[in-house]
Amino acid sequence: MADPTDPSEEELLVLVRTVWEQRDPVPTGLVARMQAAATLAAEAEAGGLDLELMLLVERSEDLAGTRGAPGAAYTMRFSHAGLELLVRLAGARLDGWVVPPVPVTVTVQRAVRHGWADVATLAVGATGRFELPDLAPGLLRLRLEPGTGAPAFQTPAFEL
Amino acid sequence: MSLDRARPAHPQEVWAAASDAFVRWRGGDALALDDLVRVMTPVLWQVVRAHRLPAEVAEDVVQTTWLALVRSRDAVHDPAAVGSWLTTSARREAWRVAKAAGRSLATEDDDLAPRLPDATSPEADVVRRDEDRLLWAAVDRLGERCRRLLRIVAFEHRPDYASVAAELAMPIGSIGPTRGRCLDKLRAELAGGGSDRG
Repeated sequence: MADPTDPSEEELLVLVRTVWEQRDPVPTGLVARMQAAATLAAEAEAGGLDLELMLLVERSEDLAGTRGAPGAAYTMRFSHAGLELLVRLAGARLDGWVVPPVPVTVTVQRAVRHGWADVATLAVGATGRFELPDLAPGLLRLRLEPGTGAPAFQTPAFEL
Repeated sequence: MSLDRARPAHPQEVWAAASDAFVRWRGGDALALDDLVRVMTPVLWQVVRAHRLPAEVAEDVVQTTWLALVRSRDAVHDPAAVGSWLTTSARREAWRVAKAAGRSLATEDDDLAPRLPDATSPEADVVRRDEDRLLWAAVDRLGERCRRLLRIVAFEHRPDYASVAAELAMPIGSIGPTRGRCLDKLRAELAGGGSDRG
C-alpha cells in the first residue's frame, strides 16, 4: 500500500475480510455439505424425485488388515432417518453394508462431464450386504431405493 | 499492520465467478452448481455469522439459502445479481431466525476464540501473530453495530442497503454515512494501534 499510516477504504475492507476469515473461518466440510444438499435439491427439482440426503457422519482410515500402503483403504459411515450405510473402499473395491439390513436397490453413479451417470445397479437382499469388486477410479455416489417405495436415499459424492 | 499477505478474494471477483457458474448451471451443466456453492458459501457464512448465530444454526441458514436458490433459480433474472440474491436471502433468513430465538442464540465469545499460530512457530509467524492481534483488537474496539456493518460491507459486493438497514435497525439513509464513520473509526484505531486501551 502507498501509505501504511493512511489506509484507503478498500485497504481497510481487505483487513476486515482478513480478520474475519482468520477468526471465524468456514467450518471444515461446510462447502462439501452444501454442495451435496444443493445438488440433491436440484435433482429432486428436475426429476420430480423424492430423495433424502444421507450425511457423512464418520470417515476413518482403515489400517487394520490392509497390506498395501497406509491410506489405501478407508471406511465411511453415512446416516439418515434411522438408516445407516457403511462403505469400505480399498483400491478398486467397494464393500457396503446397509444397517439395519433391509432390502434395497443400490445404484452407483459416477460424475461425468455434465452430471451423473449410472455405473451399476444391484439388488441388495435381507443381509444388507453388497460389493463391487472392480470400479474405475473417479467421483462416485450411491443411491439407495428401499423396496417399500419410500423416498430414495443418496450419499454425498466421494472419491474412489 | 501488514497488507502484503495473500488477500481474501475481492467481492467483485467473487460475484463475477458466481455469475459465471450460475449461467453455466442454468445452461444445463449440473456440476457448475458445485462451483457456485464453493464460491459463495464462504461469503454466506460470514454474512450469516454477522448476525451472531451459533455455528449449527448458521449452517442451517446457509443450507436453507441454497435450497431456496435451487427452487427459485428462474426467479433470478440477472445472473450478475445471483451473489446479491444469495447474500440478501441469507441475511434475511439469519435475521428471522435470530429474532425468533431472541437472546438465547447469541454466539458465545468462546466461539470466536483466537485461532492463532502456536508459540512454537518461526519468528516471522510470531511477528504476524502480533500484527493479527492488533488488527483483531482494533476491530473489537469498533462496537457491535460497526463490527456487523463492516463485516457485511467487506464481504458483499454492493450490499442491499434496504435489507441491511432493517437488520441493523437503522434508517436506510444512515447506512452510507455510518459505513464511512465506522471505517474512519477503524482507521483511527489502527493508527493508534498497540496502545492497549480497554
